[in-house]
Amino acid sequence: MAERHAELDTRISISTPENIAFDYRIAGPFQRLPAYLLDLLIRSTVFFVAAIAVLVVAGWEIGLAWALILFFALDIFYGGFFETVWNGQTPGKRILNLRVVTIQGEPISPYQAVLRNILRIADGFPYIGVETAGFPLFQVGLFSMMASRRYQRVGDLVCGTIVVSEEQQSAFGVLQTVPPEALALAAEIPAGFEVTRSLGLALSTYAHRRSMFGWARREEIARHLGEPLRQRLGLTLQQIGSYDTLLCALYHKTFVETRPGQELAGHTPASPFAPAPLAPPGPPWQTWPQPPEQYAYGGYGPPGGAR
Amino acid sequence: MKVAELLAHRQSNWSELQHLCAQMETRSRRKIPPEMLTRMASLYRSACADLALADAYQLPPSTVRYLHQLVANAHNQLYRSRSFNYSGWLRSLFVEVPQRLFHDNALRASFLLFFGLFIASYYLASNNRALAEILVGEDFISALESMYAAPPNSSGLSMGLARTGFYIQHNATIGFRCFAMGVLLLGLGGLFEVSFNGIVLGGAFGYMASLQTSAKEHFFEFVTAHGPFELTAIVLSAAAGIRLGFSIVHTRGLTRLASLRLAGRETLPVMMAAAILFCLAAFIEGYISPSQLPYVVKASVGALSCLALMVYFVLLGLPTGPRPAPADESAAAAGTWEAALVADED
Repeated sequence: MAERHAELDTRISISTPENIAFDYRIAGPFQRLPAYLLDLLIRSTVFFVAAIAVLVVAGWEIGLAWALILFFALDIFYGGFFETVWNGQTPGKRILNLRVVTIQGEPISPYQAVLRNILRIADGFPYIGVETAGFPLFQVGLFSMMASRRYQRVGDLVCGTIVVSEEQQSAFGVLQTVPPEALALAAEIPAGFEVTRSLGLALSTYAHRRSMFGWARREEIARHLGEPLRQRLGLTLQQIGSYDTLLCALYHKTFVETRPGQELAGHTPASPFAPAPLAPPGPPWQTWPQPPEQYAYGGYGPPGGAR
Repeated sequence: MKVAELLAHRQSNWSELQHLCAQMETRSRRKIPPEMLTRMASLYRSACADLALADAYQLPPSTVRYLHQLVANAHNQLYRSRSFNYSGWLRSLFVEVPQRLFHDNALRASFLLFFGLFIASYYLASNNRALAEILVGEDFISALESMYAAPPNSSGLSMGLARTGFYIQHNATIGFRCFAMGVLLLGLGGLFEVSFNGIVLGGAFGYMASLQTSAKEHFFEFVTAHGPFELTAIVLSAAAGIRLGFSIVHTRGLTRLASLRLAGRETLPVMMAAAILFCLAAFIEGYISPSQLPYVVKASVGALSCLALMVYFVLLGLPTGPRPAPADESAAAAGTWEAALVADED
C-alpha cells in the first residue's frame, strides 16, 4: 500500500547511515525544463557580457579567440563545474530547489557531474539549426525520462544520478483553533476512548483540509467517519450538532489537549547556534494560510501562551 | 503525550537545524566552525529519531512531510560532494587511461576503421577526380583549392590566437558530440562518425596529393604539424563513444545499466585526454601551421607529437603488473564508485 502510494507520488526512499529512511520527491521533465532554460539564460547572459567586455578590452582578434574559448567552456563545463562545487546544483537548479544526487541518495562525484553534463548532447537530439550550435529539442532525453522509473535522462542513466526536488515547506504543526462547539463537545467524549493510528491519521488529514470546503461538502465527507464514531460513542445527533464538529472534537482531544504529568524524553537543549530570536522571521505557525472564515489556523501557540 | 506538546518541545530543534542548513549551503566549507558541525550532527540525529518515531507519535501528515524535507536537506549538507581531486585526475590521465587503452578493442576498431578508410579513400581520390568529388564533396574540394592557392602565412600573433580559439571551439565540440552520440544506437553513432571523418579526410588528402599545382605543397605544409594530434583526438573520442554505446550490448556479465555506468566511468578520462589533444592541436594549428617557419620545423613538430603519442600509448600503456582482471571482478574490488554502481539493484 505504502509502496503504491510512493510510486504514484514519484517519491523514492533513501536509507541513510543513521538507519533512517527519508523520502525524496523526484523531479520530472517539466520541473527540470525551467531549470535548464534558466541556466541557459544565465549562461548566455554571462557569455554575452564577458564576450563584449573582452572584445572591447582586447580588441577584435584576441577578443574573438577568448569569446570562442569561453563559449566552448560554458557550453561543456558549466553544469559540471557548478554541480561539483555547489553540491549537485547549478544556479538554475538552486533557484528552483532542484538537486542532483546519486540513486543511493548520496552527493554526486565530480566524475558524475561532468559526465552527465557532457551527455546532455545526446539527450538534446535532435537539433534544429547549425551542427555544433543547434538548438536541442531533447526528444531523446524526454523519451528516456518516460521510459525510466526515476525520470532519468540518458546522462543520468549512465552516471547513476537522479534529480530531486527540495521544496521548502516551513508550515507544520497542529491546528490549535477548532470551532468553539467542538471544544465543548470534546469535554463530553469519554476519557477512555482510544484513537488508533489510522483513525488519528484520518482525523488530522481531515482537520487540516476542512477549511478548503464549504459547510455542506464538509458534512458530506465527515459523515462517512462521523456516523460510526457517533454510534460507538453513544452520542445523539443533537449532542454532536454536526459530524464536522464531532471530528474536530476528536481531533482536539487526540492531538491538542494535554494531560498533565507526562515527561518528554530526548529533547536537546538550545545552543548558541539557534537562530537568533525566533520572533522576527516568524514562527512556523504564522506561515499557515489564513482561511477565509472565523477559525484561524494556529500552531501550538507560544509556550505558556493563553488558550 | 499529546502531539501539540511534543511539537512544542521539538519545534525549536527543528527550526535551528533548518537555520543551520541554510547557513551551510551558503558558507564555504572551510569557514564552518567545528562546534557548528557537531551541533548540526546532533540535531540531525535527533530529527532522524523524530522521523523514525513519527508514526508512533501520530504526527500530522504535514509535519511528517516537513520532517522528510528537513532530514533530506540536512543529509545533503552533511554528506556533501567531494571536492575536485586534481591528483586523482592526473593519475587517471597518465596511468589508468593509457593502460586501459592498451587493451581497448574499441580503440583498435576505431583506429583501424579510421585509418583503413583514410588510406582507401586517399588511394581512390588520388587516382580519380570524379571519385574524389563523390567522396569529399564538390564544395569542399573547391574550398580546399582556393584555401591553399596561396602559401599558408600568418598575419601576426593575434590572428594565431583567434584561429586557436576557433579550432578549440569547433573541433573539440565535434569531439564531444562524437563521444556523446556514441551512447545512442548502441555505439553505431560513434562508428558512423569515425568512418565519415576517415573517408572525407582521406579523400581530401588524396585529392590534394594528386594535384600538380603549388596548392599541394601548401596543403601538406599546413597539415603536417597539427595532423597527428588532431587525427588521434578524433579516433580517441570516437573510440570512447563506441565503447560507451557498445557496453549496452557487451555487458561483461553485468546488467545492461550497470555495464553502461561502468563504461561511463571508464570512458570519461579517455574523452578528457581527447579534449586535451584537441586543444594542443588547436594551438599548433593556430600558431605553427600557418606561420612563416621553414618546413623542417613544422615537420619536426609533427614528428615530435607522433613521438609523444607513442610514449603515451605504448610506453605508459605497457602493462606493468599482471594483466588487469576482467571488468566485473575489478569493479567489485575497486570499492566505492564502481562497486556502488554495480551493486545497484535496477
